[in-house]
Amino acid sequence: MTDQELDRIMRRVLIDSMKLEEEGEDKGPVFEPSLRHRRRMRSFLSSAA
Amino acid sequence: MLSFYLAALESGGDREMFAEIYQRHHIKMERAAIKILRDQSAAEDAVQNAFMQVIRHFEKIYEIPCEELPFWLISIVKNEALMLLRKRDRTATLKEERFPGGAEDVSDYTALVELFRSLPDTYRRVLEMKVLLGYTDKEIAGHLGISETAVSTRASRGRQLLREILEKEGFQL
Repeated sequence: MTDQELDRIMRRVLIDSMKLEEEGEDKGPVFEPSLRHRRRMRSFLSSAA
Repeated sequence: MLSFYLAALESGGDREMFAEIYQRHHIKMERAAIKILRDQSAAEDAVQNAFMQVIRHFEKIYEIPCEELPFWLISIVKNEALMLLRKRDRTATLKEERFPGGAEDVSDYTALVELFRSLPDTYRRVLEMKVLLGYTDKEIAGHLGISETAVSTRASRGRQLLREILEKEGFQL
């Protein structure tokens, strides 16, 4: 097996392991954006328009 | 600062695509950041830094299959969160952890995925950055605060483990 083939499989395994991890992520701290963050992201996105 | 980075995107199409990526994926990225940092302000910084990284590596977006994009983004924000964690708390530096065995217990693909999920963070981060994000050893070393030799060692141990399992079990993937 070449390194390239191995990396292709590794990529799939890592993504599937992240999916698995994500399934158990419902509990835990909640991200509650501050006014400053919301304002910053809004301004950021408006410059993308 | 973010707007400055955004201006670096070459076309209006890129900027629109970036905005769409943000709208679709920011919640998952925010969740990943707060989970690591457990601090709202730091998590916000990690998310903003992650979007700057997305812009810096925007050309890669076009090479990533759609279904893999969320994981690419989550991997980026995790890196940024870990960098902030390391700066905030020197003791949080990724320590050299013993590389686990366990190859002999893997008999199917699910067990293989579970084994990689349970790898110490210090190994998983290196593998994710190298294989998913396509970072160089130097970039990874800078992100994790470890030497390039350590990066290379961890990556080759991860590959060796996978190769060993694939050869033993003969998975067809």
